[in-house]
Amino acid sequence: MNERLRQDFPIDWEEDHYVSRREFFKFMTLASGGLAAGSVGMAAWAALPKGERRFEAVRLARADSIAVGESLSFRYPRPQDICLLIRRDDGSLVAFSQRCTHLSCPVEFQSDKDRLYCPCHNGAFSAKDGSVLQGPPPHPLPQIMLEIREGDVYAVGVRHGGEA
Amino acid sequence: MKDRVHRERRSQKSTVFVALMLFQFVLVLLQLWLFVSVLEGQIGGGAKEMAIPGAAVSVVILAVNIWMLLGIRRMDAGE
Repeated sequence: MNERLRQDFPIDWEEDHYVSRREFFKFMTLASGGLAAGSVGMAAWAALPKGERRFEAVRLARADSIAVGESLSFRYPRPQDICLLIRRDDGSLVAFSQRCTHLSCPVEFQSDKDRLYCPCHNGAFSAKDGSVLQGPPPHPLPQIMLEIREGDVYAVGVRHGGEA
Repeated sequence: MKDRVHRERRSQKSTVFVALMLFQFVLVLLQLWLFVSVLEGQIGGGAKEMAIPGAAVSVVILAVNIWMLLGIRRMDAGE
């Protein structure tokens, strides 16, 4: 019966496997190409300078409405980007992203220690420039660039810091 | 007789094929592992210095894979 079947359907299995393996080889090379392209793209993205970026100016508040040691929450530049406007002890106004650069927990301003504190993993950033003071955050907090126009505070861009 | 020699040669080539395929599979796995490691580093915010060497190694692996593929094609054409 088997012999009859072989005569009726003379498939060369050796040949059949040979071709499918060659196809597999091509597919793997294609996958390798995709991974290499992805890696090169990621390297190019990592090499890009990430400094200041300006966005549309948004009015935040009257400059004199924020007392020393107080803070005001706002969203900039996108609705999901929560930020904090702070009046420091020396009277200067600064603003930072409120997302911790570790795992995105919201940070809170501690005026007595002049720092932004992340309660999730005990991280802390300087309220002066957003640099990392303690804890696991790998980067400084992105700083929101501010401008005072006729007594009003405007957010005009975002400045990303370097490594912690 | 001629057919048998042809079959034996094909069988030998098939063995070489499997060996090369396994080697290529390991290379692609290594490439995938590299890619995921660099991606994790990027998302985690650290280890940016890994990205360029990772890409260089990935391109070298691609070159080896292409070289092997061309070798296979040459082997086929030589039949």
